[in-house]
Amino acid sequence: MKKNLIRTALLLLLIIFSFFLYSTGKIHYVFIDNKTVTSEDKTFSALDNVSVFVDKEDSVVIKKRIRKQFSVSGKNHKITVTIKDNDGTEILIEKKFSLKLSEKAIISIPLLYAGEENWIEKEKFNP
Amino acid sequence: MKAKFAEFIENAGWPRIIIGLFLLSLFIMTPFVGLRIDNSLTDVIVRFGMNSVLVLSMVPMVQAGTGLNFGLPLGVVAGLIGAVTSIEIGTKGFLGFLTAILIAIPFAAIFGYGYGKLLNKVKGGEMMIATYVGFSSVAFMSILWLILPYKSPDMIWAYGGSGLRTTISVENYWFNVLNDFLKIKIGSHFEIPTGMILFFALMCLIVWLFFRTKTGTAITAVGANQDFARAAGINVDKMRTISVVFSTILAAVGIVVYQQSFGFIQLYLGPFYMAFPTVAAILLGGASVHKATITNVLIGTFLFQGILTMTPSVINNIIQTDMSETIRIIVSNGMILYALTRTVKAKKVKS
Amino acid sequence: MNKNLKKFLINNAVPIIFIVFSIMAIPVSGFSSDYLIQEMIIRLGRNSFLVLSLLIPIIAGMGLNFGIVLGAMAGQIGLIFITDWQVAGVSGMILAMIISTPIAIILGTLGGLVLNKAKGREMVTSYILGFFINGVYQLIVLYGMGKIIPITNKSILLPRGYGIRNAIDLNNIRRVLDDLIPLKIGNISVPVATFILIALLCLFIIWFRKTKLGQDMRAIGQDMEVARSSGINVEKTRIISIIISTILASYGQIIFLQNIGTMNTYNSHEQIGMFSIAALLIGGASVIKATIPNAFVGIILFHLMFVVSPRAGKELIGQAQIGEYFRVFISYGIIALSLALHSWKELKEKERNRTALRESLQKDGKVES
Repeated sequence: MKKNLIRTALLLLLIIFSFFLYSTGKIHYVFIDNKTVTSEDKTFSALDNVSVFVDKEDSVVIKKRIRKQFSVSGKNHKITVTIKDNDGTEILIEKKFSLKLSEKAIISIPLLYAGEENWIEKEKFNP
Repeated sequence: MKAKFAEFIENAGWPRIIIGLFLLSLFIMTPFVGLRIDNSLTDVIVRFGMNSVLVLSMVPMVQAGTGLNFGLPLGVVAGLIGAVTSIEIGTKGFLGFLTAILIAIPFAAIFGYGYGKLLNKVKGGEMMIATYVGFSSVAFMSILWLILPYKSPDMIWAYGGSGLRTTISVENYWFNVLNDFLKIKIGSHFEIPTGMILFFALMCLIVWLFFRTKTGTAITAVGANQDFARAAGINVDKMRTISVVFSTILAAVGIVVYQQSFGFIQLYLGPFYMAFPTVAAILLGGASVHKATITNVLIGTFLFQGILTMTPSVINNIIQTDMSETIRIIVSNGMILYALTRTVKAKKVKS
Repeated sequence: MNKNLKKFLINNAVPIIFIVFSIMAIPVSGFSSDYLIQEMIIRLGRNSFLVLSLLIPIIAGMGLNFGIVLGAMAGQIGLIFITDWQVAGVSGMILAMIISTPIAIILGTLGGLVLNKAKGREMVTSYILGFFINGVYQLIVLYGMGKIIPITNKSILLPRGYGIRNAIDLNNIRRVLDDLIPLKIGNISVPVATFILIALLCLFIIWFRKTKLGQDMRAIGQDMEVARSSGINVEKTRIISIIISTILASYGQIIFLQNIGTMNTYNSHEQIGMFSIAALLIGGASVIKATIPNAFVGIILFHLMFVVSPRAGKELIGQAQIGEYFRVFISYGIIALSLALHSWKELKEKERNRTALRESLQKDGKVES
């Protein structure tokens, strides 16, 4: 009886552990746009000299009117954007975000730069 | 009646009955899926003829108690030597076929002798070792196919590279010489490759007669019980060697028969897995690891080749998928597995 | 002293032949030592787990377990699922292992049951069993997946909509274990985490041999009937040994494939049994005795030949193909030779016992000569 109890408990633990592995390993797609957008009647134009990295991946340059796709695994992520101004000063923006399972994220650089609330959009993702 | 039925099942074994019924249902379904039954039957008969001698080559070794001949590729490569040499010489037609066999036989005899000697040293572990002897002989011959000085333009690469081609057509030499001999044609779709069947019958006769000679009965005695045979003054090792040589020669002849119908000689790693379907066929015919008869060969080859030919055409027409390869793997290996696990049980009951 | 040397040479004939062969072939091939050392380290990391998974059935006297391909298939099914669910990294790999475990247990139980019915010819039976289960595996993966078993990721399915593609890209877990703890010595990178895992497995095997179960297995390996009469459940113990071997093989296959980075759905597992067994035998193991050093020595020697012989063949005769066939010939030949030597020894022993028995009986006057 006790043996069975321990076995069931271990099995349950294993299943919970599996779910943990699933959530930490699950791949999410993060799309990053550097496109001119209009939000609440305001226009945010695309930016020059933008480079981005998500989590620990290598940084990627995103030109104007371009969308790049990143794949990251796990729940919590950090996006780091470096923008070079016209006068040469570098602006560094760091943002954290978390995704539920089966969600993808679309991030707009111009909105992020302007400090708008809706810089990130999360959508259900079906492969 | 019921007891008789149970006895029949016990004797035939479930796998055989299931496969027999499966084949029967395939034949019944043939007309309903838009195929011609006479066409299918012709295919089955041709493939039966192609493989029959190879399957027959299992009999002497099983009878001598050396187990299933997983070393079949050894005989096959001897046959390949005969086949390519006959093409190199350039003999055509029936003469070419005969040349191939006559050249193959001494090679098969030499290989078989060594193989037999080896198997005598490893009594009890023959099957596993035979498998690897077969594999390594194929690999070894692959090296030879690359470096042997064959010159015939039909066999070497057109663009000059060294060595023989992987597949060599026998079309200009002895393609279908047996199949076309006294061929019977009924209607436009039904043919019987009489020559091939006759040749197979001849081989069966030779095997049958052999097992009625003094040596043949001695071999059977060795297979039934080595210790008794030894006590009766039979030279066990010699009898086993003879049976292995005989099996190897039959395998060499078998592959030439196969090629004359198939149309191609497959070299290099072609004969690699040839042993498994052949072993499966004879087991399907009711043979065991210790006992095999010509009847087993007939039934087994027909059932096995029947399944192989009918499944792709019929099943494909029903579910639009080619599952024949998978079915072949499951049936043939399932059959071997069944035989390997069953005989031990029977032995236990006896002792 | 001389006698000891002779005995040593005879007992280790196979590895010695290979060392001599490698010493001759390496200069001919012209590979640099850096390259060869790196290759050997990669291959040790890749194959050790699989080869070590063969050890436990040998203890139980069941010979070389060709049935590790069953484990390999279980591992691959795990990998198919994590690729379908898109779980990446070390978590993905561990998840694949967790998924493959129950499959390996089922297949191992099946294998053990079948082998219990084929006592005395376990090897050939496990060999054929591998082929048979391969057919079932094809049936499930090629026809069942995407139809009966739901697969959401369309990119791993065949264009017809069901059945897994012939090759699956394991990008998500490529080298995750190997690169988990990076270490570079000179030009040579060492997959530390993989080696730690292998070391743990070695410790497990050493520990296992000392447990009650391990001792039982050894007793069965020595004499099944004696073991049975001393109250050991022979059938059950044999099944357990096959289950353990199958589970380890499934992990081994996952480690193997994370290093390779792509999986040939219908071929990756097929050769695993053959190669692992050849390596173990080349390392000096036999059907009844295999040690952990046998496994490592064997992997190095076998793969040294694997890497070197095509190039050596090319340099010597101008054809890489010859070296290729030569290596196939050697690996099959060595298995045949090792098995033959073993059977021969066993037969000799049996004969000796029989004559001894006969003589003693004659002495007692129980049998007339």
